[in-house]
Parts: sequence; C-alpha cells; structure tokens
Amino acid sequence: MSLWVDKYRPKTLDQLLYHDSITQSLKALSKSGDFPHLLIYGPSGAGKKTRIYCTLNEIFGSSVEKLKIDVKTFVTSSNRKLEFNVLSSPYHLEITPSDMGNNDRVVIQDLLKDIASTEQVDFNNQSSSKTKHRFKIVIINEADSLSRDAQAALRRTMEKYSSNIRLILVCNSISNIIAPIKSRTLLVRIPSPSITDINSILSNISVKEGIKFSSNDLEPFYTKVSTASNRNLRRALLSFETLTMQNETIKPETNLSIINLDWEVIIKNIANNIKTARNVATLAKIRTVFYELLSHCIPARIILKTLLFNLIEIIPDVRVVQELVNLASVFDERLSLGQKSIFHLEGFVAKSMVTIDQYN
Amino acid sequence: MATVDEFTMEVDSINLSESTLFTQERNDNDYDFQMTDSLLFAEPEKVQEQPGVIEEKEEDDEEEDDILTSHISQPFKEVKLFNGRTVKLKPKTKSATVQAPVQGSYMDMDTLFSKANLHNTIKENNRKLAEMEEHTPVASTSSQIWTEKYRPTKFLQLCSAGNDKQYRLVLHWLKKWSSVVFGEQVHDSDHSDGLGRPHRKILLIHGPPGIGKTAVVHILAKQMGYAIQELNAANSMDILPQSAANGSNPYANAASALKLKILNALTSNSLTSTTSKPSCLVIDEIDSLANANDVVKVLNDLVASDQKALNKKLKKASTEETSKKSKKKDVLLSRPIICIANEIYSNQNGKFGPNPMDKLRPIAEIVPFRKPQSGKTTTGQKFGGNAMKSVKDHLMWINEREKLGLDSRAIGDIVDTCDGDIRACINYIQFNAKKTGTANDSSMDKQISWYSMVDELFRREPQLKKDENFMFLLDKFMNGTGKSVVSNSSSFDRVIMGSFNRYLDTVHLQDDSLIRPSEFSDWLGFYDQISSSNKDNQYSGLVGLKIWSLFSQMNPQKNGAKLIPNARNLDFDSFEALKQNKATVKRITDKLPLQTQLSLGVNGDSMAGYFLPYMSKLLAPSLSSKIKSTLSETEQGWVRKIASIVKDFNLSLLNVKDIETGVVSLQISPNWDSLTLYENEFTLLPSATIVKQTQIRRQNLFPLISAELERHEISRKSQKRPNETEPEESAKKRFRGGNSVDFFKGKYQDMNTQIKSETPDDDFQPARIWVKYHEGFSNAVRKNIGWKDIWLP
Repeated sequence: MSLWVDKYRPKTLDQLLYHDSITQSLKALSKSGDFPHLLIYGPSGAGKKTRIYCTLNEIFGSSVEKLKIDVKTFVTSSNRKLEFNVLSSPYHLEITPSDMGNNDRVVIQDLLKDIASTEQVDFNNQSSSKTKHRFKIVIINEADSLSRDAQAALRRTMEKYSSNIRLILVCNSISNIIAPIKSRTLLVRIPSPSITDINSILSNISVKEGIKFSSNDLEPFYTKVSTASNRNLRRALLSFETLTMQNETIKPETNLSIINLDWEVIIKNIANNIKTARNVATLAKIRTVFYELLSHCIPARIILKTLLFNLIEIIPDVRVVQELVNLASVFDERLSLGQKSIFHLEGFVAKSMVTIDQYN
Repeated sequence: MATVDEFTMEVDSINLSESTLFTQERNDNDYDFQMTDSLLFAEPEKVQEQPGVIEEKEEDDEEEDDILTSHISQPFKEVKLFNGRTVKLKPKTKSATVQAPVQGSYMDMDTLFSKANLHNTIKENNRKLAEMEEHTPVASTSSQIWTEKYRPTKFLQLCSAGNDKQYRLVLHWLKKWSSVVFGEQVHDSDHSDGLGRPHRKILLIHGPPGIGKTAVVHILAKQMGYAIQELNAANSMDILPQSAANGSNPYANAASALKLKILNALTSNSLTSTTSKPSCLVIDEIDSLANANDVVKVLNDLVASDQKALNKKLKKASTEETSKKSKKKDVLLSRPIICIANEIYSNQNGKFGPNPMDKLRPIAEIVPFRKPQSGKTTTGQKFGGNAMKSVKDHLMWINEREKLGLDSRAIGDIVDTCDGDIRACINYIQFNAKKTGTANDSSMDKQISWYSMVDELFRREPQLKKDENFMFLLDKFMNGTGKSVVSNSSSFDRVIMGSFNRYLDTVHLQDDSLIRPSEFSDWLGFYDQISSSNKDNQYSGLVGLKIWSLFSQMNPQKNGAKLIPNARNLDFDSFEALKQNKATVKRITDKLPLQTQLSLGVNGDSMAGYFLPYMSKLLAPSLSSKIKSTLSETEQGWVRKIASIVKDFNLSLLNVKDIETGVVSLQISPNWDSLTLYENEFTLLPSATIVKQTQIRRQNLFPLISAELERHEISRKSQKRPNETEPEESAKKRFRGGNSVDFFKGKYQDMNTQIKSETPDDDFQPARIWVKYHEGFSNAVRKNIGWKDIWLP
C-alpha cells in the first residue's frame, strides 16, 4: 500500500472516476447477479484490471480481495512437468498463459475442466437469496498471446461449462482473438483516460497527500505530467509520485525533466539525429544505441513506435510524415513476423533517412 | 591379415620370453610398471637380444616416463619410480647360460646358430611391424572418434582454454573433501565446516558445450583418488519407465527411487574393481535431465539432512571424541557431488515453469566455465589471447600427431568457425583430415567457412566482368563449395550477421549514401521472414548474392578504422544482457506483494519500461543530512515512505564491494541498475554521473532507512505482546484481516447465532454436512450448511 498506484486504486465501482458509462453498465451487469463471458480490451494503464476487480467486488463482496498464489503442476503429453502460478481468491482465479508457453492449450483445457467440474456452492449471499452465484470467474490475462489452439480449445469449453464458469479475457487489442471467441463474449473496450480525467485524479491525490506547490495554477502542470505519460494513468501516478519524492515543493514551470524516462530521451535524440545528420556514420551510431535499448528490455515495437512519433513531431512536411507512417507500418509487420529486431530497426532508420532526403 | 597376426603373435611370445629375463619384486602389484629402454641399455650385452622389446616399449614411452633414476647395485637393480616406490630388478638365472660362452672359448654351434636365427626373425619382425605401422595408422585410428581418442587423460594434457582459474577452484574444492574421505589433516579450517569439508557440499559447474567441463571433472577426481559414479541424462531415466508402467502417475516413485540411486552411488564402493577407491558422484548435464526437478529435490534433501547430521555430530563430538565413525542412520555426506550444466540461469528452450536450477544454485558452489573468446573490448583492449592460443596449441598438437599438415592459420580459422568449442574443433579437423586423406599434402581443399564467405561477398574479382563474376558466385553458392554454408541455416545466419556488421563500413568508404542500406533492409526483412518460418528455405542464399551485388568492391579494406569498433560481439553481448535483465525483472516481480502486482499489471514491458526507472528515482531522493532530527517534515515523510516500500517489496540494502576495482557502493538488492542506466551519447547525463549522484544520495538515505526499519520491527514486537494477553480481542481482529480459514471460522459462528435466532422456540438441531476442504486450493471450503441450502434454490 505504499505506492500511490496501490493506495489510490479504486476498490469498488463507486470509487471509479472516469468512463462513467462503462461503470454504469458494469454496475447493471453485477446487479443482475449473472453475467456473460467478457472480453475486456484497451491500452495499458487504462484501468481494465481495476474495473474487473471492482465488478467482482460488487458481485461477491470484499473477499475477492483475499488473494493468494498457488503453484499448479501439470504433466504434459510428453511427460514433462509444467509448473505455473495461479492467482486465486475463493471466487475467481487468474492465469497468465504466457507462463505456459506452447503448452497453453493443454493447461487451459485441464484447468478449466477441473474448475468447471466442481460446482461452486455459494453461501455468502445468504440473506439475499436471489443472487446466487453458482459459478466461478476465470480471468485470463494477455489473452491475445494465447495460441490459436488454445483459443480454439476455449470456444467449446465456454459453452459446455457455462453454467459453472465465467471467463474474463483481458488483452490490449482484439486483433489476435479469433472470431468465434469474440462472438461468445461481451466485448468491453476501456479507452485510456482523457487528459482532464487524469488531471482531476492527480489533483485529488495532491490534495489528499498535502503536496506543496509554488504556484496555484496547476492545470498546465498536470497536463504536462499526463501527456508525458501518454495518458497511461498508472504511469502518470508513478511519475507524479517520483516528482513529489524529489522536490519538497513542486515548481510547475521548471523541473519536469525527471519524469522523462531515459530511454524515451534517447529515442528522441535519435529522431533529432535522423533529421539533422543523415549519413552512414549516424546509422552506425544508432545501431549501437538500438542494441543497448533492446538489451534493456525495451521491446522493439515500442522503440519503433516511439521513434515514429518523435519523428512526426519534428518533421513539418506532411508528405514526409505520410511516407514515414507507411514505412513504420511495414517495418512493424516485419518486426512481428521476424526475429532479428535489429535488422528492421536499422532498416527503418535507413529508409526514413532516404525519405527525408527525397523531399528536401 | 593372417600373416600380420602371426607376426604379432611371434613378437608377443618373444616379449614374454624376454621379460622373463627379469623378475620383478614389488610390494604393490596394482601399479603397472613398464621398463624403458634406458634401463635396458644399462646392460649393453643384452641389447642385441631384445630389439622386439625395445620396439614395443617405444610406443608406450609417451605415457610412461615414470623412472627417475636407476642405479645398479649387484645383483639387484634398484629403480626409483616417480611415486617414490623402489622396485628391485634382478637378472634371472638364465643369464648364467648366456654368459657361459663368454667365460670359456668353447662355443656351442647349435646355440649360436639358433641364436642367429632368432636374431634374424626378430629383425624381420621388426621390419614388418614397422611397415605395418606405416600403412595402418588410419585404419587403426579411424574406428575411434578423435574427440574420444584425444580425450585428455592427465591434467597436463588438458587444454585450459582460459579456464585455469576455474580448474584451480574445482581442485581446491575437491581437496577439501580429502580430510573426510581419506582422513587427511584439515588444512584451512576457515573455509570448511566442522569436518573439514567445504561449506557447500555440491559443486555446480556450468558453461557452454565443448570446453572440457566433463573432462576436467573426471581427470581431477581421478587425480584426487576417486572413482567416478556418473549420473547423466541417459542413465537417470532408467527409473522412469518401470514406474510408469505400473502406476498411473509416473512421478510417484521416481523421486524415491532416484534418491536411493543417488545414495547408493554415494555410499557404495565399487566391488568390481580391485581398487577400493572412494566414489565421487558426477551428475552430468543436470539441466537437461528429464527429471531435473526430482534430482534437484533429492540433492536439496541430502544437503539439508547433512546439515542436521552435522550439527548433531558436532555436538556429540564435544562430548565423546572417539565416536568418529558415523552411524548408519546419519546421512552425513561423505563423498563429493559434482553437477555439470550448460545453462543455469534461464530456462532452456521448450521448458517452462520455474527452473530447477533456481533451487540448486543456493546450495551449490558455482564455477562458471567460459568459452575461449578473443576480441576487443569497447575500450580497445585485447583480451582472451591466451585462451585462444591454448586451444590452438592443443589442436596443433593433434595436427602433428595425426600428420594432417594444417598450418596455424588454418587452425585459427577452424577455432573461429567452431566458436571456441574444442570438441567441435576436433570433430572438424577429423572430418577434414578424412576428406583430404587421399591428397595427403599441405594444400588442403578446406571447407569454405562463413567468414571467408563474407569476405567473398564483399570482394569483386578484377579480372572478371560483373556478369561473369556473378554467375561464378551463383554457381559456387548453389552447387559448389559454398552450398554447405548456404544450406545450413545457422552458418548462413552467421554470414548474414557478418555482412550486416560490415556493410556500413563498406558504404561509408564508398559513397556514404543511404540508398543501398535502405535497399538492403528490404532483403534483410525478406531473409528474416523466411528464416524464421521453419520451412526449407532454399532461396535464402539469394540474399548473399544481393549483398555481393550491392556492396562488393575491388579492393576491400579489411583493417581500416571501423564505424562500430566491436560490431562482431555486439549482437551476442546485447542478447546476453537481455537475458540477465529479464531474469532480474522476474526476480523483482516475484518479490512484489500481490496487491501491488495487480495494480502494476505485471508484465515485463511495463516493469522495465517505466516502473523500475521511476522506482530508482523514487528511492533516491536528495536528503539534506544524515541525521533524522535535522530533516524537514517532508523529508521525514520520504524516509518513512521509502522504508515501507523497501519492506513491502522485500528489498534489502547492501554494501557491495566490487572485486575488481575495490570500489564500495551502496546497492538495493535485487539490483536493477543495469536496467535503468544507459551509456551512449544520446542520454542527457552520462551514466557515471548518475551513478555518482545516486551513490551520494544513498549514503544519506540508507542509514536513515535501516534505522526506520529497525524501529518498525521493534514497534511490531511490542504490539504483539498485548495481543497475547487478550486472545479474544485478537481473534476478532483476525476475523477481519486473517486468512480464509479464520474467515470461515468467523462465518461459522455467525451462522450458528443466526440459526439459533431463527429457530429459538423448537428444539431443532440443524443438520450438518461437511464439504471437503482442499488445503492450498480454494475451490471447496468447509462450512456447515443447512438442508435448505442444498435443495432450495
């Protein structure tokens, strides 16, 4: 509970501050006592998980917060033992298929069958006997990383055991989810909070924490923080907390460099270099930097995306920007199809340099 | 062949008769003693009669040079051996008959004649034997793989390949067991436990394949006087099938059977061999054992029980000194265990779940072996030259033994191709030697290697026209010598990587335009795509031709200044760093409390992308002083907050001294600095500055936080005490925040009161039904329920 992301995390649907319409429909859903399989998607830091847990809280009461981690073991077809973590409460359990690698189909089938075959006996809502929940919730994180096989295995299970389990699939984009699953689930998109949403949350927190500011006009400051974090609320909170830990009184005009991340600054400088010094020596220099970024666990696609947006910002010519976006999409595809990220990152830089040259 | 056999038999019989000339008096007969010709020549009159013996001995010379000095004391010959034993040799009585002709002038014609005959036969035999040897070396050796043939049998034969330090570590560790195993004196009690054994009972050696891990373990263990009991991927599986046959769960007995097996290996002395050497358990390829988890578990159990037994024994030893012999029930480890693995930090391909090595690492002494690498660091210093040289010397030695006629350059090429894997090198040499065995001269038509192919791709023949040159290359790639490189995806991958590392330099020297690099990127994309789809990619060779048509030039400069000084190692280095960083992220993630894991949305990207960078900044505020009372209100708030974060996240503050530089630095463990620090010219501040800054801040911060943590600890303890006096109060508190069992206990009470209040007038006893409670998994819970709960909706 020490970090603000923890401390100010809404526990119930009523505490949610933005996307009121989604909140309302979730509330209606939980009131009815039953709900369909859900597919919740949206960018990271938008509050997908928070909303799920708030809904669960609304349905089952606060005991869903009593979490524990179980290590489950499976024996795969090739007699290999497989261990992975399951986060569970009395009413739900949560799995991350990327822990299981290629065996996700087997694991999901076995696990779901196991849960579904034991009927849930619910006594918690003794008083209001209308809302009996004879089902258990299974949350599947990063559902877009499920293999095709696993998704196919899911579609039958979803119908067959629908009396006993409800699935909540969580993912960033639904482009990797097969159509049968989409049709069996209620799709809920949770967009990133708007700048003003984040601003109001930040100002709420700063009042509660008693943070000192040197001036009173805070709106531009909050806006800066929220734009710097790409409307990712989690990141905005972390960076705001970092700011307050570094300065006793925050001066909204000056010291904001601290919330810019090193790797973003580096990519920004790369973009500037592409614009100003277009030659092979720069390309070589950039390659070493790319290697370093990759080794620091920054995914190649994020590097490409950040680089593109930085280039768009500093290049005035619309035609060049069009070309660059086109190039980036090509190389993004190559990145996701291939394995050698460095080839494609360097290729993008080389091509964008050529493109900028052409229009000059 | 029949004649050859006859000859050898004859030679053997001669040897036998000759060796009966001497009777050997020895105390110990399990040591194989061989005479050398130097000894034989000491008595010149016998030399002529023993040419066969000499010939035979010469073959063994290299292995047995044990005789240090030999001095004659009539009638015995005393010979001192390397191991300190003296062996007496006395001439047999037969010599009297030989000497007879010398004594008198009378000569027995028959004897002389037969002697002359014998002499001739021996001579003849020798000649034929020599001929035979000349003809058949290939025939006699080709049945054996050279990696086996040249498997080192002595410490001095080992090819160190830059691992000398590691050898010493292994030797040192093994030496410490001597006190327990052989009853030697304990040398340094500082670095060993109560019985003189090393603190860690298991040695874990890891390193890439083919650098002699297994070889060095075997040799050193033998040298220290152990018999090796080996458990490897092949024989550890024995246990599995039978238990799988009769039980539904193949893993049910496997662990206990395995334990028995390991214990047997440790305690039994091999009865078959006459020597009663103590055994040393070597678990080879422990990371790729099918039941690695079980093995590691058994090892853990062993070490744990050993620790208990040791404690018991040390206590006992203080009371009765004489009971040194361990009892049967004691499971004190008395034999060394050595594990060998390739990769102990990250999971192998295709294996998921927690790595069994994670559990082994804490109980084992880890010795990392490295493959010989040479190159330049970013600062331009050369390193690893010695390691490379030792590998080359080793190969050169084999080369001389086998008369392959490779020059040192070719051997250097081979080492490069095989990437420092000595075993692969030897295999490579053998393959080549066989192939060119008929030619048998120095101009070997050796396999084209990937780097020479890269060279070729960047070179244009001046004599040929472009088209001709292209066709020449095409032919070479698709049909000729280059095909083996092109068709093998891993070697062609190296070609592409090599070209990728080189093309920028080439373009830079030519026209410095970016058109060609951008065209090349499309081809790289093409290559990456077809090579990652696992199909037979017969077109990937075309990428090589494209490289040629884009970048080839007449006079490629090889040794010019490079744009990227360490381009060759960059790819591998960054891959290694990535692996390490991922492990760090995983470690930190596992330590976070559950709630925080939820609110952070645990996935590696966001952790490394912004959580950890912010955390490093957040945990290093600039405080004005080290003394708490002088801090301002907010600063004290920071200290409290950081202390609670450190506590919640299970972090620890460490004072680490760098072994190489001796610089002491304050670190948070697990240390994620390598994830957040960047070292290139695009950053705002150089990383050294940032490190210095955080160090200064931490110097102020760390003492304060440790003090704060201590204060927490004390207040927690003092809070505990009153709770014990009021159990009812605590029970109620637990009901709110305790674990699920308590929760249901509380519910149970609530229910009872509820039911009682509902049925106060009748004497109705509520029926009770028990539901099975699965410990550890919460899909069913124990709780009493009413009749209506089951039948009424």
